[in-house]
Amino acid sequence: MSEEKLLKVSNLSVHYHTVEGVVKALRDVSLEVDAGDSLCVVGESGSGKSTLGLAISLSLPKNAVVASGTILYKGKDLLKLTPAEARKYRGREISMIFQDPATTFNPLFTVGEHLTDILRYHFSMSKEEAVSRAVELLKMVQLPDQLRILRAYPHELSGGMLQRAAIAAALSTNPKILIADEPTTMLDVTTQAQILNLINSLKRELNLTLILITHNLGIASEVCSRTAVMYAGFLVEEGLTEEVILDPLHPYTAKLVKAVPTVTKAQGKLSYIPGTLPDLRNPPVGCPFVDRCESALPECRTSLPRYSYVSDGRRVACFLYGGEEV
Amino acid sequence: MSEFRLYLSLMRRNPVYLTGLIIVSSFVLIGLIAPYILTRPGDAWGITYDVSKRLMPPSLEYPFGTDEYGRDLFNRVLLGTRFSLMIGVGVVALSLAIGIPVGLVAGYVGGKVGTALMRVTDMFLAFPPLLLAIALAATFGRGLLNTILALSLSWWPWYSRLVYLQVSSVRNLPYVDAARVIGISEVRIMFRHVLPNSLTPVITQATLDTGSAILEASALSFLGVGVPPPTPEWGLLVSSGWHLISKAWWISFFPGLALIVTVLGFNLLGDAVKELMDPRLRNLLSMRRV
Amino acid sequence: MLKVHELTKYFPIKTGLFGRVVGYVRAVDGVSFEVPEGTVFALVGESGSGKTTTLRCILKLTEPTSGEILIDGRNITRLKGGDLKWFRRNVQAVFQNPYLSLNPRMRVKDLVAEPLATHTDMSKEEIRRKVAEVLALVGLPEAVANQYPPSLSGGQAQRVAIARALSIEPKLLLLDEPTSALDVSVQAQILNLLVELKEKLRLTYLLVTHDLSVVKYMSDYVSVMYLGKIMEVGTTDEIFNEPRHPYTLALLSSVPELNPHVKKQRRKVLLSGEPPSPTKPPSGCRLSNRCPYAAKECMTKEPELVKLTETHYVRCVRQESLGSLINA
Repeated sequence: MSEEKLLKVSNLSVHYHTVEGVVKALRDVSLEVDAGDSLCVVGESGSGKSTLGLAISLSLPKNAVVASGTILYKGKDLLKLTPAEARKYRGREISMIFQDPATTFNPLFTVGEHLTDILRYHFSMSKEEAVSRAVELLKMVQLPDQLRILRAYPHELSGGMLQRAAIAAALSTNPKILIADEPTTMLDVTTQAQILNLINSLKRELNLTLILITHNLGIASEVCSRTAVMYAGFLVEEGLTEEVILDPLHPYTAKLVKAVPTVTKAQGKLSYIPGTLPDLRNPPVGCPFVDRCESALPECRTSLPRYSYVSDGRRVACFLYGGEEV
Repeated sequence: MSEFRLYLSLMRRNPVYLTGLIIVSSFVLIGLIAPYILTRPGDAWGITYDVSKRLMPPSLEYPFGTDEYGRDLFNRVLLGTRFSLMIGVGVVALSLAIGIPVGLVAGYVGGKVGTALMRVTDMFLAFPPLLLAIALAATFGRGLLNTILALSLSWWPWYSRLVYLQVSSVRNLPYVDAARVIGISEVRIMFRHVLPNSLTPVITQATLDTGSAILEASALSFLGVGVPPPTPEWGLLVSSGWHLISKAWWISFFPGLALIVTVLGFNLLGDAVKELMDPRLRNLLSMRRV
Repeated sequence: MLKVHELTKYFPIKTGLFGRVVGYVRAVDGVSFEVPEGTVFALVGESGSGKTTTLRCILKLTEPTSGEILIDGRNITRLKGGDLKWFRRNVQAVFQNPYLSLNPRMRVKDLVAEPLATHTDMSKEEIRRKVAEVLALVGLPEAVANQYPPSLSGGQAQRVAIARALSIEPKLLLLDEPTSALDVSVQAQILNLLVELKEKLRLTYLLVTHDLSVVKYMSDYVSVMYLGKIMEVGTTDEIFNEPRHPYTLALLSSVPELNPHVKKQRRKVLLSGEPPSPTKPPSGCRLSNRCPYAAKECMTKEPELVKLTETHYVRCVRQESLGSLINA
């Protein structure tokens, strides 16, 4: 019996209208997330990973247009919601935290005011109830001295503390899905380790469904059970994180794994990926990676590969694995 | 999409801005060719007069009527365009010539010199600008050049402050450090690296200010401390018809109207430029109507 | 090639109407190290460690409070005016974000020509040829010369910055987080380029970064900094394979590890709490309020650097007893 997936994105395409033209940021992206999953969306700049996160949390900017596709959350298409209904989902069912915690918080309000505002907006609580719930939340994210932090303004807190507070705020509404877009990129490496540790323990305690967006494969390895790799607006590979890293199928994934310098074992010359991203305003007809791929076949230039399922839950979009043409 | 197409798109979306563009372009064009298209140059320059034709209301022959000296007002207003253009451009240019160096040095050098320069700027800024201009104009005496000078002296501090603010932040950017590491002299860094990157807000503001300068100059002339008669400067024309306003309304009306329309045109154009500079809006503009 | 001796830099904190000095930020507090010619020496630390301030002192972008800096035997700490020319000719830098370290309104060819025009009296034609040569050296096509930095990709822009720094053939190149602002796939290109150039032009590098994997890939020596002091210094091999300082260990364990098999074998050291304010460092060892191994003696006395080998020094009173804990 197949259970309904918590989140099902189908054939999603998002375009940005910019001064320089229409940028096709996401093209025909499909993925599914089960309740309790932790999925990492990995990609470099221009891969469309952030756009995907914004689309799912209904936070796309004004100059973005959803060209096609659906986002089914518990069976309901989020893209068809009215603005009023959307407001109920955003921040309540699906929460998001961003790279820069300072942009999450209004600099004119204290952290406490921010938290209690959210609580009282979504739930009917008295001020006292909201404050004590806020204290509990801060304890949950391992912040000491909770009352002092509630009284503090965002600029008075360090990056690590502020990001923890942002996580607390995001989780305050008991969302089903938490989307984290590069949550540790701006933090020091030891703080990053603490935050990742926190995310891991919260994941276990709250049985959270997590979508983590990052460019760092190492973070994917530390936090997420599944990983999806994106390139130039396409989802090129997906599977269990271990499998994707130890046995990458797509040529891009393989190169990406080899390009990451490591701390532990010895390394020969770092491999890199020659060439650059295709122009997303005029994406090539075939596979977007074709110009940088060493194993390119003639089909790769003329048509897009469909997903081939190598095993259950493991798929790759590449003609090397027999993907039929779309 | 190039800048030009973006601008067109903006104009298309907002006919009000388009109006501004048209007004300003017409103003500049007329101002440039005015002396060559006068039908009654004598009247325009104030050399001839014909008492038999005095105080005639607007008609086909005299579209704006005549004044108390029988001079054709249409020609006078037309020539007045040129003087307004000269003043507008002159004041802005001179104010920039004073304000930019002051702001640049104050912002870049900082310290005691910077503070001193900005205190001087602040002193000028403390005066209500029009009052200062009036006082200066009265001291200098009437005349086109004096008017431009008086207005520029009251105007430059605004640019100085704008440049100072930009320079203060630009000088902390990494490429300034990088230039020092290369070994480039401080003076060269100031002119080659800092200044070109600090001028954008000033240029935008200066375009807008041209309209205000014209308005202020006409105020000075109206009060009798700006351009002297018989120059057909608009403010002067308005004031010359003031005591006759009930009997011959057209003498003040038409130059006044020209002033309002011109300044409005510059304001609209300035707003359009400001909106164009806003990056978020630029993206929205490039979206076709869905 | 480069010798830094007891470098300190204190920033005064002023408050009140009259700018009274109420305290000091001890950004760099007695840092000493030597960089042998032809090697890559890395200064590693997080924000607030003082590594960037150290770099700025060496580049003379800011003046040290005390200490000496020697380049090729010459004391450059108090150099001023005309004598600076030699220093600037021989010591150059590449900064973190090329879009910010290159004047966006200047063409690439003018940017690369500027150092040549400043330091040599080459003719316009000679400069033009040299610029083309340097651009080819960093792997940039000729077409890039007429472009402006904002229209370049991150990797290309950083190559321009490298070309600019190397056009006058300096002896010492300081690198401030040279790849932190770049994508992973491009990072590798730039790192490989830097290694190649070092060999070709016989350069010495001082690398300042928080990214340990980059350090491991490129460096010969590593110095770990925390709150203005060096906590441990040694060869890359010593630091990565036999780290002794708890902070070094924490740094090493905080790097997210790709390989799941390796992950299970690593020992993790997690620091607690937040870095303290640099105006009031904790008494005793600077790490004492966060160190999982802190003992009473750590809170009272600030340790000195202890010599372990010719190249390996560590600043921790418990490092001997910890040695066994760590390698358990």
